[in-house]
Amino acid sequence: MSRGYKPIIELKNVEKVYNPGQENEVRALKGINMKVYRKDFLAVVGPSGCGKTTLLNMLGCLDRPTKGQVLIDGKDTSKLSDEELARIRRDKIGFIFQDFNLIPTLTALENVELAMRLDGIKRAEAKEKAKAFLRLVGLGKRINHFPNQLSGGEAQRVAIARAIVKQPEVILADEPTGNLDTNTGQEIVELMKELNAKNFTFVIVTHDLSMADFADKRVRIKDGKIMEG
Amino acid sequence: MIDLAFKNIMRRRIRTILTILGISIGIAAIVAIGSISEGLYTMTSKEMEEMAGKITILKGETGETLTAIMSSKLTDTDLEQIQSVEGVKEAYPIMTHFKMKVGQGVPEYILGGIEPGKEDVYIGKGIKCIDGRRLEEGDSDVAVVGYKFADENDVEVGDFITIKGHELEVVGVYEETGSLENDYAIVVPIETAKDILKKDEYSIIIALPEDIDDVDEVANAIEDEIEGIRALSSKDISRRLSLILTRISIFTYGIASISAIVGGLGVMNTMMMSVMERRREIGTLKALGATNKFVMTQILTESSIISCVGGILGTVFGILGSILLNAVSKGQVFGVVTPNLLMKGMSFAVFLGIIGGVYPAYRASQLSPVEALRYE
Repeated sequence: MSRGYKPIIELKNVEKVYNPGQENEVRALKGINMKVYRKDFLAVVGPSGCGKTTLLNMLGCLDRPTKGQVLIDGKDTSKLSDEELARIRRDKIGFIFQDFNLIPTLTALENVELAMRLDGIKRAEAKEKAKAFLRLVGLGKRINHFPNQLSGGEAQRVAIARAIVKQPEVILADEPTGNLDTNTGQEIVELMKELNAKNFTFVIVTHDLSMADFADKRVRIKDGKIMEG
Repeated sequence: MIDLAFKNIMRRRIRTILTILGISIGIAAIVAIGSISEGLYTMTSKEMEEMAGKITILKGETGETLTAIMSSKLTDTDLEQIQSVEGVKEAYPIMTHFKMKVGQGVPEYILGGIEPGKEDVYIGKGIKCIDGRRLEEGDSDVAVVGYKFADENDVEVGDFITIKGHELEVVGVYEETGSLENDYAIVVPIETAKDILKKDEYSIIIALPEDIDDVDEVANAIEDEIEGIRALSSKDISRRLSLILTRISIFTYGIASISAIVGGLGVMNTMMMSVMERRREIGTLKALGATNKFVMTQILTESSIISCVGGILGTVFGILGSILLNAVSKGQVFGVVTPNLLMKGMSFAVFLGIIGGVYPAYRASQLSPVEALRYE
């Protein structure tokens, strides 16, 4: 998988154990090695409960591994504080969720602005940029609607705009089409492909194999391990 | 991000409004009850000013209650002895008698007999007549009356009033002072008082020291030299009074604070529920890169907004309550809303908001993003 330049994210022997030593111990990840490179459009596929979401949480610095290392731009993050991890998420990572996870009290525009305002970007500047990115995802006209006034596909477009507005190094999507009908799901995948063509890097977790067909690379997970081939 | 905080607290309007009401009732209690305490201070400090440098002499029952004053019996011999004590400049006898309105707890009048020209020691120097004049030497069977007495009995200068079967000509009306003692006063020459009350004993004697700084020493000397009498210097009285007032204010603020603390618990409850409901959103914020500190500040901002609005409403309710108390009690309770009191009310509200918000905010900030995002 080496391309002669450095990966954005690298997992080295990552293990994740929930409730270690207890009766309900779960070994969600069992020694994962994986690299994400710039401009990748990578699909992580596997049956539900195989550890896909746990893997995504490791890639996105939402959680720390029990063992092994998560390197972001070559830097080990497993020992970083909560605040330092938050900073990495803010600067380098965008998230897209199955349920969109938009803030219901904020309009589409404000939801996208929020990502920037967390970074201390001035409101006027954030607004202009948010508008531009909403146009980019094809939602230029419904920017002042609240999430409950948007269709599932529109809500996910807002979420995508929010994830890419700060031009992060990698966008992590957890079952982004899981709550959408087939056609809308298709549109969302196509949108992500278009964005990938504009140099955005995507890692998409899905159990939907048809969606995985769009990916340049696939990583299959089963029982917390990567299946070769 | 105050705009986000506002949007969040307006999500559950009814709950927010009820929480604000909870806080505001507590703060209103502090302001209204506190105003009574402040009123007592203002009223007594006015009276203390009038009393400064005076020695009040009583005989009989111990204590400074009205009954002690009423039961106190001082004679002309006591007066002469007091006048001869070293350091005493002058001493004036005062006779008092009062009649209460039936079932109202307000006096109908408070009769005071004093040597004409020496009213200052009884009624206070600063108090002017709005109509007519004060007592003058040679006056007999005349009276200067308090503002409320004149108002309630429709009495004007030149009218005659009858007290205990004794007719008196009204020669003056005092301005309104806010003190019952002055506003219901009927001040008559001491000899007239003797005629009305048909007795020769005085209720109290007021002695003035030659040097105001020696007021304590002169009071002690009077007590030492004359058996059976008690001489209270103005310093004594103000010390005792301020002790009593401090106790009253601790008690009243204590009670009011309890209701405010209950309001604070309401804020905590609301914020706790709000955090639980919004776990997933908090997870999303964290995924977007919000730090623990940001989440904490956000929740604290919300609780502070709730408590500030509660504080502002509460002080308004409190001021209204104080005005209402004044009106309903017909001047018996005298509430004074000072800027200091409003500051106390507001800062207590903010304090409660922060205290009520700290735990929920801490809990929210410590949520693991993974756990929070998993929450349905």
